[in-house]
Amino acid sequence: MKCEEVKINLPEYIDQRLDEKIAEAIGLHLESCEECNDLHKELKIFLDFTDNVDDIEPPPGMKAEFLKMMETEMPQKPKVVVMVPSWLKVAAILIFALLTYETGYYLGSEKGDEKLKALEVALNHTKQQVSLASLQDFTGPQKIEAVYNISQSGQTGDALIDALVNTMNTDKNVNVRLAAINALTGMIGKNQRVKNELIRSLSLQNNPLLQISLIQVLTESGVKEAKDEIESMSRNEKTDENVKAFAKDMIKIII
Amino acid sequence: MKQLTIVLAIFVFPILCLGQVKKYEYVPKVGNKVEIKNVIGAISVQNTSGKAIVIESDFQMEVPDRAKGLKLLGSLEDNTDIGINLSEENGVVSIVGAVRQVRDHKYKILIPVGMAVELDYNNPFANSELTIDSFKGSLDVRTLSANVKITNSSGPFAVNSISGDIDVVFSSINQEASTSLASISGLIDVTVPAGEKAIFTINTMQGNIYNNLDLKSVKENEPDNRAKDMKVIRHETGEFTLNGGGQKVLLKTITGNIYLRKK
Repeated sequence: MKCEEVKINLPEYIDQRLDEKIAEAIGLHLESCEECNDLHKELKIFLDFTDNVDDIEPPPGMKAEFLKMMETEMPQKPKVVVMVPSWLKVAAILIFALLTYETGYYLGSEKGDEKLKALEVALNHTKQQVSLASLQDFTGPQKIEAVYNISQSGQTGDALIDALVNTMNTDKNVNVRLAAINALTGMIGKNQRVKNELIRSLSLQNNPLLQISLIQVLTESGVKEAKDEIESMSRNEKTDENVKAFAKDMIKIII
Repeated sequence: MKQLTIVLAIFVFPILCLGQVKKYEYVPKVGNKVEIKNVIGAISVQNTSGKAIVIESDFQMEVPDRAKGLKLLGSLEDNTDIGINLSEENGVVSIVGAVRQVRDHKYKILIPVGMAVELDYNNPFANSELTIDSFKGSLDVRTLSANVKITNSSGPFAVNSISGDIDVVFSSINQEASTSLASISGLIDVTVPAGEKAIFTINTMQGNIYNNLDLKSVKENEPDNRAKDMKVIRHETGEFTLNGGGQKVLLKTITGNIYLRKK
């Protein structure tokens, strides 16, 4: 068994939820692989710790005070779907547990406004990292979901645009690329770079559906800068016939 | 009696052999995803409650007499005896057509519940209709001209085609992840149980959209006094909620029509 397979299955192995044969194979691997064995020990200590933590009763009135503070200080956040590998889930749980503990501590001791804001920033950063990580290695529908969630966050930061542009130009799944085009289209009026990236993408795509979608988006959004590229596609012998015909029609609109 | 035996041997046995269905089973070690590539015969995919991936096929390899004792050059090993190379690496089970003859045969692939499937049928010789039935889980499909027919399934789906039709009858709409169906010149026909919740993003350039679902536009249209007391006969492209909204379902064509039906 390879290290990657072992690492993926470690949480289930520790919880004894694996098939006997697979558990046996992992056991054998752990005996011979120092790196996986170390990871196994660390994860086991952490999971044992979380299993044995007693429930802590919050001070009276703390929940109401916390909710009130959340209401006044935090804008409503769109949902963020987390689709990450097991090890990242464990890391996220650990970070979240520590943040929750610290939040409770500072609120309880009335020291906390500035610290809470700092924690909030850290938590948002973690959420964003988790969202970006989710674009890397999952099924098409999961990645589409992540792209939609990012696009609904209302943010147009460089890291998000980078992730979406990268997805639009390189993801192997056409539907995921299409979702990224849609997400970027929603930002077209907010960031000049998005416009440029959509135009640049015309020359990078080779799937007719994506080429047509880009032409559609750029012409409907009145991006005149795209005219030369679209015209060039309509003349290129290698361009798919459907795309050529569509490009010729749409050039009339963009003038 | 002897004559009867000879008749059976000459006529009936070969017919039985021709129609013989072989079965190959594989229990994934880790397996959370199945990739199917270069299997360009008639494919049907279903879920199974068992732990094994089961492939049934009528595949028969015909080897010319001259090729006896030789191996095929430049092709994967047929390690299943049904024209397919099956392997597993990093949690992904790959089912890959090992010989060209797979295009002439039928493959029924049963996938354990919970495993995601990625089916690449993007091949000019892949002309059969892909059928997916009773499938609950993530499904990615890519075709060139082949039609995709999905029945009694919940997805989520990511299906795209250049000129194939995409026909989906949802048993329910998976609320964990988005569904996306896209075709350039093929049609998209979606049937949904009336009580399901969803947000449909519908986009077609030159096709028409036919609908009998109770869709509500997300954006309020500006009142048009001229259209007072008149019904809209064609929904505009845009975003619509079904039963208050739920998971996103993207439908996109360029020239094909889009059909939305109540189940």
